[in-house]
Amino acid sequence: MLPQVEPGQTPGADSLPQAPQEPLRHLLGLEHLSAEQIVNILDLAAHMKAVNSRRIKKLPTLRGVTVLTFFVENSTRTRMSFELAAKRLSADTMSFTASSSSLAKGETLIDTARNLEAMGPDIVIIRHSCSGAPALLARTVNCGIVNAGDGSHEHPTQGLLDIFTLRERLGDLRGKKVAIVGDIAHSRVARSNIFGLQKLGADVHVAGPATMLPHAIEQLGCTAWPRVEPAMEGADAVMMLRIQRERQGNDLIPSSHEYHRFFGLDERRLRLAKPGALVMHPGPMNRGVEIAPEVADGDQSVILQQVENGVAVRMAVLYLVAASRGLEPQG
Amino acid sequence: MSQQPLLLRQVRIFTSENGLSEPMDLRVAGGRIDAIGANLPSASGEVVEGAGRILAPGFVDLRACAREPGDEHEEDLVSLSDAANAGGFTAVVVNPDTTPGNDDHAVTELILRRAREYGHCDVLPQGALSHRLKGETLAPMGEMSEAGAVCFGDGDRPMTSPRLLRRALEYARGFDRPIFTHAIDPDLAGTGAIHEGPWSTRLGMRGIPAAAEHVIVARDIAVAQLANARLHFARVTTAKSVALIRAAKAEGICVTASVTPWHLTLTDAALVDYDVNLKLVAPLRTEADRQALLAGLVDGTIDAICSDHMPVNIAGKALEFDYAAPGAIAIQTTFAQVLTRVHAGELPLAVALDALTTGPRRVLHITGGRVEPGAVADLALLDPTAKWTLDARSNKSKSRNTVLWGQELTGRAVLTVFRGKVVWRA
Repeated sequence: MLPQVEPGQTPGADSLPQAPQEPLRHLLGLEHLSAEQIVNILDLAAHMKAVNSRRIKKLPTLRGVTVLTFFVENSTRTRMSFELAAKRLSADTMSFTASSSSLAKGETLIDTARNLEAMGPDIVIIRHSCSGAPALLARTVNCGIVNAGDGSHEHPTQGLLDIFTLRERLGDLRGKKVAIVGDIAHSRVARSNIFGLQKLGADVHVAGPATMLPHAIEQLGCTAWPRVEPAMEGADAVMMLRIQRERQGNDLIPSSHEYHRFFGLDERRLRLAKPGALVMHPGPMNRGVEIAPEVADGDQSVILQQVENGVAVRMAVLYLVAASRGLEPQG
Repeated sequence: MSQQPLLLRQVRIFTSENGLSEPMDLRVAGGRIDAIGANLPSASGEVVEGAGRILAPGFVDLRACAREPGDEHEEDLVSLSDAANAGGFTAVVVNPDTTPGNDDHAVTELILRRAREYGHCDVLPQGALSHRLKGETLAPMGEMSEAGAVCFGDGDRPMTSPRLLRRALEYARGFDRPIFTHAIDPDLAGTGAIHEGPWSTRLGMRGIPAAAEHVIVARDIAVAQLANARLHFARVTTAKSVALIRAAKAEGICVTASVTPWHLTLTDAALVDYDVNLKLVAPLRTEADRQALLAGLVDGTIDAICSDHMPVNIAGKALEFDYAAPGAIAIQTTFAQVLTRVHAGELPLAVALDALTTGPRRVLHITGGRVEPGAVADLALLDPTAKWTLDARSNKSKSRNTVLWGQELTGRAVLTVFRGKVVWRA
């Protein structure tokens, strides 16, 4: 058992908060976490963030634990964020990257996973272009699985770091209006935020051209708009999603120019939101498409804080998954 | 063939005309039903006690993949015959999308020769509608009919050309063969993998809208009317399709339809764990669709239940949902799957049995399936309460791609008779 930490106290290796009641065996998505579990992760992340502001940014907590990043889809910065998180907890890291198409041609995902498992990782962080791949892995191998983004399904650590950033600035999220704008249909960031934010009581509005709003999205509890303005009105925070280049000029939107005109976040549209509303983006940004440069760099933008918080949130997740698996973190 | 006489004692005989009979005896000799009556003398031969059991005509499956020729590591005509017999089937329509495809009488003859050499099941080849199943030019349907093809279609390939469909329907009419079609608009379906609805949204999966099926059902009904010929919708999945087919039948258009046990028993909610064995060519739909399919069976809009048996090797399923091959084995479990709906009070037993026995024979215009003295003895003795488990020991297929693997099931064929010979016994 780890001792509780009083707020404001500088946490050290010996003062991490207690593990949650429901152990976090895997982190596949936010849909199946309770509000209590989410808050627990975020509270722990706050301690991790304090560690990250020290001169020596390292805890011995996961010494001897092996963390594998298994990226079957390119993402340099998410992988770096996870690797940094693992290293700051003193875990050993290794990485495997492949393109999903080459994997599909040769070995099956299950074969690859079993081969990697034979090398003895304790936690596998997986990024995959197919929805459900982390769930498949969790059923196949005997490691903790952390989803670093699967297809259009979930990107739970992104959702957690977004929620962490929102709570840092807005406090209690109950009743706070959060607008998520962009290609909701194909966005795992949107789904994790929709699930996570609503569990903490936020009022989630999604907006984008109707071609980018998935069928029956309202059944997830949020409000959907085929135009951006009603979602922006009175919002406490606006989350702009990256418009994938390959979606431009196909059947979803006529052009990036037109997208920017009707759905992009510029200063004029930002004025519809509450004064001082937070501007967020999961990165990487297409300046001049979903977000105007002056907004991205403006006073209300917390985009770089999101990146910073990402490391702390991922440290918390790795810690909790390791703890739930009896990896006896160094207390 | 061992032609030892067989006496089935105290069975309730099912026929579509009369439903379930009172318990009585039925004797099989010389490949035919020899006598039916109360307290038949046993004389020589085998006696099977049938109390509590139902004797039905052997089931006919309108859609299964034999994987022979070409993919015998997944299934072949022998293993398919065995699995069919264990499921109560004595006749199976096999898809033409093999390697090579069945688009020529030589392939049709090969399939039939292989099946007859084994001789446990009537294998009824579906000939390809188009050359190389490419949907461009007509395949030689006359020669394939002569060789023994019972219907034509391009298997799972969507019919993109209504013009070719029209010509195929017209041409096949001269040979009294129906055209089988898998109704899907590939353009509207796009790269979808599951039904487009709340579940595809939740799971972050690309969806196949219900409309991708019924726009083609509507189109093909019009084409069937134009051609004045028989069209069979090989597996309908949506409520709207059922309504369209019901209206077409009322108008006198020659359309028929079948449904799979998966669509009668499950909805897209079952995909919550991304189980690749529930990735089907025709996706699982909603509860409203499932109810409509049941209602369609009850009122005769849907003529038959087909197993849609699709064996897939482990290498095709040990993959991400997006990359996994679609399909599930089902020929051995179809009866048990359908019975769950009977036991749940959603489907009368007589409707279910009709859809497995007489319904498919009606679709094909084939005789057989009569239970009367002198009739060919293709029979299934069914125990609707028997518990069993599909596992490595009981499975007859070469593949094991089903969510029912390892689950306890209720109801099975305990004895299957083909041409008077016992080909399966539980």
